[in-house]
Formats: sequence, C-alpha cells, structure tokens
Amino acid sequence: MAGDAALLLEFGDAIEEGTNDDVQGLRRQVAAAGLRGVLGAVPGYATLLLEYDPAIWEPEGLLAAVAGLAAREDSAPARRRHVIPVCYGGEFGPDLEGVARSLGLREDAVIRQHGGRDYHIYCVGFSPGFPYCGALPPSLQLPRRDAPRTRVPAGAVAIAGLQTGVYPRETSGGWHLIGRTPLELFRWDRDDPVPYEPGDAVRFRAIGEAAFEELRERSRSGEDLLESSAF
Amino acid sequence: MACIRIVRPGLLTTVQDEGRVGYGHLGVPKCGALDAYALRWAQRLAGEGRESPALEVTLLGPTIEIVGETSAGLAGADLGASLNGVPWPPGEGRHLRAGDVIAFSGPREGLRAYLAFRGGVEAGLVLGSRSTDLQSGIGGFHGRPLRAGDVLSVGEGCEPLRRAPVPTMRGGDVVRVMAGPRDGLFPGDALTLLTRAPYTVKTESDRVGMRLQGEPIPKAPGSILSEGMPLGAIQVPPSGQPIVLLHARGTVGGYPVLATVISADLPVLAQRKPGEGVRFTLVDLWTAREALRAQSALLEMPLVDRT
Repeated sequence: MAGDAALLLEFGDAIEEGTNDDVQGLRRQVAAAGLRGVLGAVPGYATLLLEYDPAIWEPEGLLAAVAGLAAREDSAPARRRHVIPVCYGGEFGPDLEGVARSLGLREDAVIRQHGGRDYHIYCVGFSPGFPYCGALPPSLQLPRRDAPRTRVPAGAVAIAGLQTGVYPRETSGGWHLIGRTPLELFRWDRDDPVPYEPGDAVRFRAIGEAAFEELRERSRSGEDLLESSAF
Repeated sequence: MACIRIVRPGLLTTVQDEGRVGYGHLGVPKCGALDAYALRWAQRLAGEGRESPALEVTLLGPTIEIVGETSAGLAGADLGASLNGVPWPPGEGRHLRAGDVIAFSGPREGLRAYLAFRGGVEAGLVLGSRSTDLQSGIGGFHGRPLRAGDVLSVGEGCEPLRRAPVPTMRGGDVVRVMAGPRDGLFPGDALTLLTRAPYTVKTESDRVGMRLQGEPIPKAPGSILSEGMPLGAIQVPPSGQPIVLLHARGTVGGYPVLATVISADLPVLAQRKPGEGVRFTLVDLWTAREALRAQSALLEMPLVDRT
C-alpha cells in the first residue's frame, strides 16, 4: 500500500523490457477499463502506481478487480513506434564532442549508434512528456554530468547511464545533451498531449540544420510531424 | 458581468481546483488546492460545486477590488481577511458590491486560505482542470500567480449569507501516516525515528514538496528504480531529511518512500507554516479510512444562516 489512496504494484526489480511490458500491459488494461474511482495508473520501470478514490475502493477490492483485468486477453491498442528527428552536435548538442571523447568514439559513430536502434519508453515523468527511453548500447553509456545544467532547452535529446530521452520543455537537467529535436512534443491544448505513451518504441533519425529549421517552423504552426506506426 | 481586480497580489495567489487527474502516466502533475477540505468549504459558501476554481491565498494575502456584484466564500487559514475594513473570519460567506475591497492584514493561524466566488473565477481549462501548474506555466490565470492589475471575471448574483457549522481549517501539528510503500528498504528503526520527535517545516517548501528538518532518517541501503509517487509520499533523500510530496509533485521519483500521509491529514499539512513543527504518527488503513469518512461527513453538514 502507498497510503490510503494508492497501491504500488511490483513486477520486478530491474530495468528490463519484459518486466516493463508487463507493467504497461496492465496499465493499458486499467486505462481501457475506465473503472470509476480509479484516478491514475502511473508506471515506473518495474512498478505500477494505482491511484484510487478511497470513498469508492478499498485495496482488496481494487486488487481483485485489477487481477480480473490482468487475466483477460490484452485487447488494448498495440505498441507503436515513433521516429524523432534530431539535429546532433554543435549548438544543438553541446555535449556531443565531450561525450565522444569520454567514450573513445568519433562523433559520427555516437550519432550512428544512438540513432540506429529502437528504444523502449519505460515511463514518462520528471517533467510532462519526458520519455525515459532505453537501453543505450554499452558503448554509449556514461555517468550523468557532474554539475546539472540549470537550463536545458526544449527539444534537447540527451543520454545518461543506460537511458536516453528528450526534454519536451525548458527545465534543469543533468544528462548529456547530444542533439535537439525541432518538434514540439508536448501540446497542452490537446486531449492527447503527447503522441507517445509509456511502453511505445522510439527511434531517433539524424537531420541537418536546414531540415531542423523547416520542421521547427511547421511544428510551431501546429503540424504533427512525428512519424508513428504500429510496432 | 462581475470581475475582481487585483490591487496587490500578495505572496502567492493562484487559481486552483481539485487538480488534474488521469494524465499521471504522461508525467503531468496533479496540482490543485493543497487543502481540499478548505477549498470545498469556500466553494460551498459561494454556492459553488466541487469543480469550481477558486483562489488559493498563501500567507500574505492579496488586496482585491470588486467590480460589479457577486458573492464569495472564505475558508481555511485565518490570514487577517477584511471586507471594507471589517474583519471577515474564515468560514463565512459575503455579498460583494462594486467598489468593495477585500484585504488581508497578515497571518494569524494557518498558511493557506481559499476564496471562492459565485460562478468560479476565470481560468483556462487544461487537460480537464483549471488549476494553475506553476512549473509548466499552464492552467489557472495564464499559468502564473496573480499580479497587480489582473482582472478576472467571476459570476454575478447574491448567495444567501451563511457560515460553516464547523471550523474550515484543520489545525494542529499531528499528521497521521501509513507505513510504506518502501519502509521495508530502510533500517528497522526508520519509522520509529520519523515518529519520535517533531520536524520543522523549512522555508524552501513549496507546492511541490514540504521540506523538513529534524531527526535524520538512516539511508536505505541500495537504490530503487524510478517509480510513481503517491500524494503525501514521505521521500528520504541521501541527506536523511524527509520531504513530503504535495500536489504539484512530479509523477515519478527515485528516492524511496518511507511512509505516506493519509488523505484526511493532507489539509493539516497544507496549513503548517515554515518554522512550525509537524509530528508524524503511524496509523493503519482502517484508521485512515475512518478519518476520511469523518471528514467527508463534516463537509456534508448544512451551512448555517447568518441573518
């Protein structure tokens, strides 16, 4: 139990895609069931926090209802893959040069390795829409920055440990900034504010400066430019 | 149409409602009134329903001039409110006419007062809520605290003059908690230490979290993976000085949660000022549910006529 209005369900204790798939499967089923008085289902790496109205549910009843959902065939929408365009290095990714040096790689090798694979979105948090993606290949793993930046620009694409992610808006941050996406990923004026959800897959695609400017203009004017498809 | 004009904004005056629910998996904080009990009394005194956005007034209140004719309810902390110089105790409703001035002379008891107006105050609806999210700068009145010169429209009309039958602020320094969810990770005496002596509320506290100073809690060996953080979670960072996560908290976090404040006592916590003490006491689920039921029953009591 997590107080009198939430339950923390544990699925494992490691950062593992299979474990997180189980978390997301139940999350989707809880969301699709739309149980009255269930106010949220917030995934972590290996946990699901169920927030409920204690005037409507008590823990055993809620656990039984959720166990019933878990036993059903997963009829919720399948995972999707999203391709995020990124302009790497230079002013767009001020840490790329240092990251490459620390890893003993050339900058273009870092870009190629970061972009050449699908990542799993384990959870979304830290700030609205920030996707915790992983896992990075061992060749790209390095500790987070010694001193966090007080200002990370919106759209910054970053790595730290075995994780990679995108800062949807300007915040502080301690990850290494290797690039930047021109897309506005979080739109407060929509009912679906972000195009992805935890459990989906993300892939990064390198673009040049000219494409960055063009896509940024179009994204600002409200166009949806994220390429999303069934995974 | 009636309006309220902010003459002086006070320390931190924001528009809040019950909060943003159902977007936690996308990293969207709940926000909303920190003292939901007082908010509900203010709404009722203004003749408003649960979803009506109201002003959350913090410590040093604003000066507000009324344009047009409306009604309002005041509840929660006693921050020295007055209407045209005449004291306005919390827990009472008032008719307001053009040129009336609401002012606050300074805190007497508690930290947060709620001022609800007939028809609710003008606020942007974002993801199902009109509460202000100061971190993201959305919701409420342009996503920010009120400033001098702001004009917000409110509803017109006279609500019967009434008062609450019971105090609208939950006072005292005792805050009940339930163990967990990660108490098992801490050394055996951690919960004893948490509940042994009072903690002092630090000035760095805000709507995201209440930072406390007192008996340090020994570190949980090992670490946890980032996980969802319940409202009222008592996180223990490496310093050992606990932080209670409040309504504007981030949805996930990586510090283990030793205990969680029960729903019924979040209003008590919301009224503790920096420098004041908080004493935690451990209860079980049954006690927590009974406490919430009792509080909900209070909120159903009929209002009392003042005339």
